[in-house]
Amino acid sequence: MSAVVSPIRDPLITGHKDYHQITEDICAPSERTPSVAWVVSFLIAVSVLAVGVFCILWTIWFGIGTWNLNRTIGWGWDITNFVWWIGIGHAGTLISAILLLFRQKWRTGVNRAAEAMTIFAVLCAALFPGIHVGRMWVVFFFFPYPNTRGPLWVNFNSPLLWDLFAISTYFTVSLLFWYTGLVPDFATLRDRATGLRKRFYNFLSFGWTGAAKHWQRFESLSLVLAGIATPLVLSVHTIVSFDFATSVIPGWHTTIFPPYFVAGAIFSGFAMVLTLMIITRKVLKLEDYITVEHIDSMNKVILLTGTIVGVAYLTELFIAWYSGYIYEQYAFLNRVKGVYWWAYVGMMSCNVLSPQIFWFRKFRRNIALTFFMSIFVNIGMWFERFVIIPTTLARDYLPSSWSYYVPTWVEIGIFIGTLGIFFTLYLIFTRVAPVVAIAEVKSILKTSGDQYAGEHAKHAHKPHSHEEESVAH
Amino acid sequence: MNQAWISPEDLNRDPELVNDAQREFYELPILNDVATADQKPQAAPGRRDFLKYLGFSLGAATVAAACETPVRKALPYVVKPDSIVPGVATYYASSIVRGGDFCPVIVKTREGRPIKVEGNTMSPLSEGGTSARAQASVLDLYDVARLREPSGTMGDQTMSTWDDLDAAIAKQLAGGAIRILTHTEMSPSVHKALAMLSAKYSDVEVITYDPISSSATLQANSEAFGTAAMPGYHFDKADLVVNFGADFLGTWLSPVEFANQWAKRRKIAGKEGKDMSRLIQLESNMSYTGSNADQRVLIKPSEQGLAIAKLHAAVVGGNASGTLSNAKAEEAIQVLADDLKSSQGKSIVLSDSNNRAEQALIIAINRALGNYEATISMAAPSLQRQGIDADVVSLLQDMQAGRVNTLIICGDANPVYDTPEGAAFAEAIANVSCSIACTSMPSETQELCKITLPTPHALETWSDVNPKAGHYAIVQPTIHPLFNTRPLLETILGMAGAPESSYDFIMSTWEADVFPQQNKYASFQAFWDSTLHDGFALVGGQALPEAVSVPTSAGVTRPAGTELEIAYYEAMGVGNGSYANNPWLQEMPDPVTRVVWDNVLHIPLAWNGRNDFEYFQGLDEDGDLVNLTIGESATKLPIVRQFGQMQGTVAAALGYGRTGTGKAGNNVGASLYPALSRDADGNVMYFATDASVSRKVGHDDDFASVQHHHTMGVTGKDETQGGETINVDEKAVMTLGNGYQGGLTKRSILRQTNVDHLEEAIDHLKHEREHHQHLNEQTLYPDRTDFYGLGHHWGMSVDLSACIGCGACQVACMAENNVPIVGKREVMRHHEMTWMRIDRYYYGDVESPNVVYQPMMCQHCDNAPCENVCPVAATNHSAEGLNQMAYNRCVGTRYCANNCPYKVRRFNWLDYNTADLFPANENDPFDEATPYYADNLTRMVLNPDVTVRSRGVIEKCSMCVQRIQEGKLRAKAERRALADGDIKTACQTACPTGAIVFGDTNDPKSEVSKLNKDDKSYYVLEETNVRSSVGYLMKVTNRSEAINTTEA
Repeated sequence: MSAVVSPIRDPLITGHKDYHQITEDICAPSERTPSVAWVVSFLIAVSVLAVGVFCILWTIWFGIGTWNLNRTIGWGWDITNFVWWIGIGHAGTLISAILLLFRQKWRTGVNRAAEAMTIFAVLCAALFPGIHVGRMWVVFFFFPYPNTRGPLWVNFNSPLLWDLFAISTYFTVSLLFWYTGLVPDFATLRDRATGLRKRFYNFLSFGWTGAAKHWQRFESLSLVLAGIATPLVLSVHTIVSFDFATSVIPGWHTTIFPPYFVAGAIFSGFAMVLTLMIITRKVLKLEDYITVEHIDSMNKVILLTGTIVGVAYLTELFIAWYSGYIYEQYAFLNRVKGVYWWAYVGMMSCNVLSPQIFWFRKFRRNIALTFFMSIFVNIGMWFERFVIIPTTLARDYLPSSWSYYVPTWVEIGIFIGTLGIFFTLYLIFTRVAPVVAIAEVKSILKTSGDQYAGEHAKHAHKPHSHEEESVAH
Repeated sequence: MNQAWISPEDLNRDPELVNDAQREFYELPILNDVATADQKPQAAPGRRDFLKYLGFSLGAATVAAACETPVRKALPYVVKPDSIVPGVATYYASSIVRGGDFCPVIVKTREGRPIKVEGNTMSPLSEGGTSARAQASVLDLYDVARLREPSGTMGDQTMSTWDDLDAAIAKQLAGGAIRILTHTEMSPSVHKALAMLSAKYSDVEVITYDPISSSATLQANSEAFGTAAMPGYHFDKADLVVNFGADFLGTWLSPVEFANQWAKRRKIAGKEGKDMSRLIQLESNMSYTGSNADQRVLIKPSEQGLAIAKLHAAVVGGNASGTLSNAKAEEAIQVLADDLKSSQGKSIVLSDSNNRAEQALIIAINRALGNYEATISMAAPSLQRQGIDADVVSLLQDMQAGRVNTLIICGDANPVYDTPEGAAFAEAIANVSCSIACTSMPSETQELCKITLPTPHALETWSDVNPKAGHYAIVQPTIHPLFNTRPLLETILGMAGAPESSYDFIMSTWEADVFPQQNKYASFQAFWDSTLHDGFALVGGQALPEAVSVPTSAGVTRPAGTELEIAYYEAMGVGNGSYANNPWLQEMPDPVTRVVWDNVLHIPLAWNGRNDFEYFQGLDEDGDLVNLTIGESATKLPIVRQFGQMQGTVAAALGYGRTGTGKAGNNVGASLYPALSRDADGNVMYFATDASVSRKVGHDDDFASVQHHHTMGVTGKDETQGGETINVDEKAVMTLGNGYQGGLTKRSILRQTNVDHLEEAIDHLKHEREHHQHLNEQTLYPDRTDFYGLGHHWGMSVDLSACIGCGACQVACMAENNVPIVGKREVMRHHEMTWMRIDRYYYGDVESPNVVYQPMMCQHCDNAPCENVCPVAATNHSAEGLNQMAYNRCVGTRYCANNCPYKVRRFNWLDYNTADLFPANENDPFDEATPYYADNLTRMVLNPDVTVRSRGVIEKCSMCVQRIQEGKLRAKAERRALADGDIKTACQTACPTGAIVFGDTNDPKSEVSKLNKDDKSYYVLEETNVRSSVGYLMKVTNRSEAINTTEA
């Protein structure tokens, strides 16, 4: 990256790193014996995953009747969790594609983990459409392929089908993008490894030699994939929102859903990136690569997107009143004051009110606070989906059919299980691949390293201080 | 010399071989080794044997392991009966009878098994209507709990054959007093046989009682007219019906007949409502008929006598001292008296009171009004209630004193359960030397009887019915008896020493007794054939008996002035308790409370004029458990907060709390029979004045109500706003936490008006619909016009003024379409599967609201929101406008159910119908060894024309597509165009009031087209542009301004 960096920008790499030190630092977690913390975390994650597997098998064996969904409320925690995970999966593409195109250098510190998180979150999300159906052994009916049943085609009018295409496309592109970035780093690991590990990384790195031609192709492919992925950032959650927006149910049938869902998805995605990064940088000792500057930048995105969803919530209320349509008015009054009022309160306070503290630089740079806020935002975004799905269904047109819904232990178990799947995969990822993109970080060292940029550049020989730690403790 | 030989030994007749040849299994070495090991030692099996065994075991193991398919035996007919064509239904005219309940029906059989009953359109009583109970009767036929074999003990002798039992009974009968106990028995042949039995033995007495009786009416009529019978009514001829509590549309006397008559005066053609009748109900609880009344006047149960006396005084003359606790009721009675006097001969005053003096006053009022033989008939009286309550008490005394030698319990008579003295009966039965139960179902009384003679179900046997003077009906068998049963008639004939088959005896009875009463047919054979074809015969009536007495008001109940009174009512589904083991009826929601599988205590609620409702005893959640104490008896019941329940009163149903019937019916709700008491005449009083209700003692976690919200535009006065009338729906519970419930009044779901505002309401509807249609025309696709203009387009019309919410359509739909029941717990989870439901909403004044029943089924929208969201096109539109489901294609995303504005789509959460291979998904609501639908006997009720749905698929109303197909094929086979009325849906044929009309909306001459073009017709949620195919006709009431019905 050859762009000129303003001297008043804070450095993105601290600790006076050189290229070799970067390689050493980032490769280290996958080269040393796993720490006790890692082993304990992994065991917990796998146990939680096992709970999820048990609950999924329970659902398959005993039927969807083991869930508390009913004649009125056909979707509950299942689709709430689905949309929540899809939303979380949004940060990865945004960071890799849009921020790449916008030349945001701070993305290099977090893009690898964010992309990995995207892939794992989409996997967790994709689980729900598969298992929430009544007859999961015929879900292959969803796929449009020439068949012997007529041939009988799928219904291209159905938003669920659009969903299928949107999510599978997104998953494929995200996976390619992630893997493309990993290839040079795998080669780095290969070069440092011996024996079986060497053969393993040799296979994964596709024979990367670091030749100029390789780098040229790598750059081109990254750019092409970024180009493909950029519209996907907008399209996936837009299409997920169509599941609701194209229906006739008041509270779902809303034109504001696509932008509102996209903003909400980025919002929750960044919150999850923060949750993971704050732990990862500490545990893997990557504070020099994922700095307070990164956290500050991400908090700004959180503030922006949180405020966008807040505006969307208020717009919905206004439009319901302005529509003059009693069902619409009722649907939103019900959201605020109805049987699930607590979910609305949870959503509003976590998503709209609490992120407002990030107007203050001091709070944006407070790591402990940021960590709690990121959890808050994720809870709030879960509530948002819950408010949209069961609350709306519970009180629609005909009062005779109104109902109420509380999940069973099976539904809760599956949700917890997806957290287990997510963290198991993430923990494996931290052991197998470099959590920070080595090649990309190296590319900004000369412009954003602390010996080249920011205040420390002027005092190059002063011992560097962990500013963030003093704030955190 | 041997002609054929297989070896030299054989040829030479070797003795050893001859010996072996006589042993059949000589060829099997192992068997032989075992059998003759000691005599004939042989070499161990050789290599070839080893290979054989190996091959066999391997093959057997493979077969056994790989193909564990259940063996299903099917035997083809050797000679096919003419009447059975596979795939073609055969219909028989018959009657469904149970005690005093009677419904003329046509029984549909498929491959020799009855699967559905339809109303008999030829019957002048019902004109094709049915009740939910009649519809559910086919399920009783296949009830696994039925008694299957005769059994009994006499002394130390245990018997299990008819011959042994008959011989023992014959010996027993000669031994002394014989008492026969029965509910109302309407069969003339059984009466004749009983007379023969009485003639044979010296001391025979037949005791008839009804668990929920009209004993006092019979007595009063006996005094007044010399005829101990219930009057016949003609609600179609009455302009004004003043009803003291009688549930004549639901359970009282002959509801199918009455509902049919009543509805004729409630349907309005066009904008003219002049002929509409008015129904005023005076009662304390929101009874089912009360919910259909134009106005209800609230009086306490103990004040009913005084209220009748006051009406008598106002109409006939004289005075009635005392005051009613509700001052507005006093005024209302005066207004009603004037109204009645101006409707001389065109009114009906009736009461379900079981007080003789009160019934005498009712007779006097009707006589003064000239209603007899105009709207009420004693010339053609009803025979559907014959029981005199006091007779049971004297029987009990005889039994306790040991004066009864043989007690014969007939049919559903079940005194241990259904009389107030049940416990005493249970003890006294031991004093009887021989007790015989002739019944088809186990019961609390049958358990205690020494001998059980199982009787067949009404669909398995010949019988006859005389429900009304001059009306004789036939019961025909439609299937060979499933079990080793014998009709009651044959048993009695056997006891009378004249054994004969039911068929022969009935035919000879009819030839001797019925045939001579008519003059239409010259030969008995012709008369008999026409009876079998029609299902009934009408013969000459009786002359009006002379009046013989002048009633006084002495003996009417006096106001009790106690703190809390309770009224009992008959449950719509389980009736007096004899229907308790029928899951279709148990799962049919009570029309008023919408609760299933339970008896509930109705408690009053009051609008406090500010912001809240106040509930009796502070009970603020339906399903809260309370202890109900009535005199000595204490019961625990869940409550429901009931609109229209008078302050200071509660209500609960009789007929629940069985303990001796099948698994489905046992321990459902609590029985209140033990709490009943008798008046001086021995008549059972269906209310009590010494009730008390505890505060909340718990909550029933399985309390199952299909409807959580009950009102649609209920208004009250807001005292904080100076008495302004406000919408209580919104005001009442618009607080954080309780859940906002408002925004209901203007919903385009219900349309209702009073008859005097009919024109305005029609104008308003017209403008609103024009606006909706204008909005719907604003489309992005202006060129897409009418896809369904050619050929047939199926649609429906439902008249909300005629619909009384009885539930017959719902049960008929379950029977026709194999809709499963799911049990109490699953209904509590709102997993009920009903394709058709009846929504019930309260509207109008909060203290005395009106009720509208709205049958709701798939609306078959032409722009269906469910269809475009299905990812696999499992639900799609037919060229004839039907919204159809391809179950095989359904993956079960439930998106369609979410997107249905009418919430009529049902998802198979579990394998309710046991249609899958995996038993883990099956629903076992009654905790049986074989889950409910998995039993082969129960499965016989399934309609073979309708797919049995498996777990995980969506289902919903198909507008009986199998009937549409059948109708089209029939027309095609007959080479004619399909005519209007050729195809009728199950709900339509079941409806006793003709509220549902199905047909082709593309045919401008069809009835449904005309109805949907009526000024009062509308589509529910028309502005959503889903283009529903089901039109509803506005509910019109006929309230009187002069009657103030709110409580004092």
